[in-house]
Amino acid sequence: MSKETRTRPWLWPIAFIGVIVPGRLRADWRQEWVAELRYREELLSEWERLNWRTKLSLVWRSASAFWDALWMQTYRWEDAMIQDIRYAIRMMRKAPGFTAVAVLALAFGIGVNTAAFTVVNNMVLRPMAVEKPLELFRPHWGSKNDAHVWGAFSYANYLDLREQNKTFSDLCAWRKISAAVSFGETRTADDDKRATVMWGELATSNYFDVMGVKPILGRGFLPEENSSPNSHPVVVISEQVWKERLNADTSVTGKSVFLNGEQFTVIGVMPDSFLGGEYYQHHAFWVPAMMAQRFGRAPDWNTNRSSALFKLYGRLKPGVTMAQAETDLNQVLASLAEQYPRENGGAKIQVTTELDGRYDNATTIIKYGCLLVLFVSILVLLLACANVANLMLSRAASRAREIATRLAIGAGRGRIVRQLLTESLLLSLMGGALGLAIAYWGTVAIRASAPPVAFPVNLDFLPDRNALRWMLIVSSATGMIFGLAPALFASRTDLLAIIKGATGQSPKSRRWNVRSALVVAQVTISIVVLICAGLFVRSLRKGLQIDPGFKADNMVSMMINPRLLNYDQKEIWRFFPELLRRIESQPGVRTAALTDDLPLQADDLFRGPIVKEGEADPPPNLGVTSRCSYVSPKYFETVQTPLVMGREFTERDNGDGPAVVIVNQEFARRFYGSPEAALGKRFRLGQGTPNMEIVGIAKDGLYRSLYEDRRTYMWLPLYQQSYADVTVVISTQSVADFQRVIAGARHEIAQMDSRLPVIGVLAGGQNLEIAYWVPRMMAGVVTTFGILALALATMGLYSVMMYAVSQRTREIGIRMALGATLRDVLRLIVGDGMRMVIIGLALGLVGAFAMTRVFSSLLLGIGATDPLTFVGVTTLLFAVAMLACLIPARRATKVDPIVALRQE
Amino acid sequence: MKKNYLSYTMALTLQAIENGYGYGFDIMTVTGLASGTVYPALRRLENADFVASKWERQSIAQTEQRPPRKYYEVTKVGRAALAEARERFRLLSQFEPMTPKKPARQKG
Repeated sequence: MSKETRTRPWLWPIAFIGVIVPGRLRADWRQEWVAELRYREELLSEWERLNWRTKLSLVWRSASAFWDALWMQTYRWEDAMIQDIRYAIRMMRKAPGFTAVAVLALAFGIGVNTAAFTVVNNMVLRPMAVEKPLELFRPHWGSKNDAHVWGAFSYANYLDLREQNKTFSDLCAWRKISAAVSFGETRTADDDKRATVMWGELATSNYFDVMGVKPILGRGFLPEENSSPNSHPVVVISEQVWKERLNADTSVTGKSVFLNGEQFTVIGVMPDSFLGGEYYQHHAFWVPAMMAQRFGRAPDWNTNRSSALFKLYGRLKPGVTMAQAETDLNQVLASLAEQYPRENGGAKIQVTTELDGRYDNATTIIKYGCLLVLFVSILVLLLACANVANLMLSRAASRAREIATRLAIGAGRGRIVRQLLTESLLLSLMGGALGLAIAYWGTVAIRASAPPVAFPVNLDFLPDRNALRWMLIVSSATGMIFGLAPALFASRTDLLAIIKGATGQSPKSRRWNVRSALVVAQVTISIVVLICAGLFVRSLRKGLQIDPGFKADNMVSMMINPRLLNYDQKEIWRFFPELLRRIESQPGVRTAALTDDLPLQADDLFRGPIVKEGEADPPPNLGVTSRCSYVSPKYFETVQTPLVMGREFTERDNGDGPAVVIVNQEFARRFYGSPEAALGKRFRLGQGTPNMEIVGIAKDGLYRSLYEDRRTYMWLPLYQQSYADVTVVISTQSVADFQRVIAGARHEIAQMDSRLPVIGVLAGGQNLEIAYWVPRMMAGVVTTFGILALALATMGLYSVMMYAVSQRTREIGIRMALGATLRDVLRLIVGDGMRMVIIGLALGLVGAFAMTRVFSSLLLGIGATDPLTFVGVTTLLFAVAMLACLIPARRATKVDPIVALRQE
Repeated sequence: MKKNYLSYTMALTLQAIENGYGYGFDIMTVTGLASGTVYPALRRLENADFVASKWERQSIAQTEQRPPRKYYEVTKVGRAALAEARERFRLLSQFEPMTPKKPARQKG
């Protein structure tokens, strides 16, 4: 039998498959399979059945070695990697203190990082939950005077733009609305009592297609449902409403829902992942835009080109860029401006991505704040890493003998580095896991701090898969960073010296080594973070002292909207004064008034152009506008904003009386030079509106946000406006009256119309919470970071000093034996430590000066180089650092020279 | 962790080894099990110490001019487990010991 010459193709797969068998077992495994196959081959030839068919089956059988090889993977647990991990765990258990400190430091570093990333991700990075969200674009409308415009479109202009543009595959329009919603198959008299106010959208029929969302039940809108006004009362509801209010009824399509008392037929249910057009709100229903009149729009809403109600979303045709689309829309607009110069002249269109237009004009500042928080949190993480690196270094030094021994008996440097890297990776993953828990807790805290707003805010801040991925990246990256340096450092030790008993470090590098550099870096970073924290805390304190121009101490407010019940304007104008009279007659009430929105609580209303009596209208869309509010009589008395001149509105300032207006001091100064000059003057809002006489001048205040500069503002009489969505403001006699007054007001509203829903009830300071949310958040978050940074840096300094003292015991002993006093030793140690601190401080202050400038727009009432903060923080850090040096130094003074010298 | 519970496949494999089929291929042929089943079963049995593997002595392999073979034997523990398994899987008893159809293998 010539066994040697035969080709054996069935043995080939074995060599091949063997590659995936764990290295340790590979040789044995191969040999077993080869022997087995050859044994079979032998048997077959003995039986004289070794023909091509059995040969083929041998090949086939050999391929099945693959399954065996796969099964062998479980033996990898005994592989080198697992050995490393098991060894690492053993080492950690041997040094529980070290492990705890390192894991905690990393957990806080990674925790705040993940929390910060979660918030940033949810606010400015995460695309909307629609199909291909990054291909969704938003056109904005505005005046050519402005660099960036964020305004809405009139329906007629939208139709023309959609029709005539050449770059968008489709454009849809939508508008946020609120409605009193009630459910029930048949309508009974009680239904409206159960009505709740919900937020939803008017939308064009192509809305869901453009957004790219599919209903989970039923369908979206059909084109004919948005073809003529008021013809198709159909509604698409959100999954949440469907589950909570309609018991997730699968046969819900075709059933009725009552919106503002009108019967609408449910045609579809949208998944909860789709929030609606507004990223930061959760909308509950969608109705065809053509039903707008049912939601309080004037009958000419779709033909009047100056009633800009709708926001747009669009998707581009393939190959079209955003810039091309913008040019295209502006070309269409140019021809529209020729056709309708009064409404469209001087206008321009800006196209942004959904992400860049998400919060309209606030997008940039929100992004800015978010990135700042993320940046500071990364600094904190770096600090934590430096800390752990420091700990690892000192451990590497104390483990020098162990490592040297391993090297001496034949371990490769690669193997040692791998072992140390495994240890640090394991540490950072443990820190990461704990950090995720901290992040979770942090985001829950942020969510709980949300201000009381009447609409459903989307603050879905829990760490998601993205955050988890970020956590993994961050923690393994930190593992690499702080593991690699000490690992390489440790493996480069001088074997002989160490085995003979020398310590890990050579005397030359005692003063300025990697560890000192790390301490300097830590001090630098922590001073930057602390100065940020100090600035935000000071800014919050200043912010709390700011006089917003009104007083919320005794204020109770609540929102009502009679138009939800289809009141017409005459009824509304009768309803409001009667309601105020009734509320004022309640005990505990000083005065009551109405306004469209309280200051510092909502978006602005802009009106304009401001045209002084006798002057000609400016070109369309190019005049000066002003922020504006609609208020009832006694408003200024109720919110306690002083009038510097003139009078409040009275009940005679209604539709029958002459047009009047109250302006703030800034308005008077800007347009007339002084309040005295302004009082009694008349101006109009362009385009043939009646002239309004300035009857009062109010003291300047804040209207939109705490961060704003002094602004022009005007108040128009509510009873001269066609407006119904109001806030009732009540000034109580004392804080103790709040509950009684709220109950009384609710009772009076119910007395007048029991069906009218009351929402957004706020008492006292709650009225300011929305405004103070951002500065509070910033101060809270950054202060947390600051405290962490200080703790981490102090810990780092302390451990380095402790270590240095323990390393220098002998030297100190000699010094003392030669006559050094306690003071000398103290000065030696503290001096060494403080030298690092002072260098770090100097670097940090330079860094802070450079950095804080960037976010000065986020600070209230102080400059970015606020001297008190800089001095205060420097002193604090200096004091804490001094303490961290003094404790080890005191230990150094306790060294007994005789013991120290005998130590060897 | 060692598994002491025998699945039918494992019991069958164990019985085959007990009956003298010490190689993977023999076990496959005699039990009709697929290779993807037999090998993992073998590894598991080995893990549970129910079978022990032995390498053939090098000298034998050398005279035969082939790589040394590895074959499996049932251990004491394995025999006990098999007896217990036979109670549960009655069909196992019908399994016949290896027929002397081919020359007995040399054991090292």
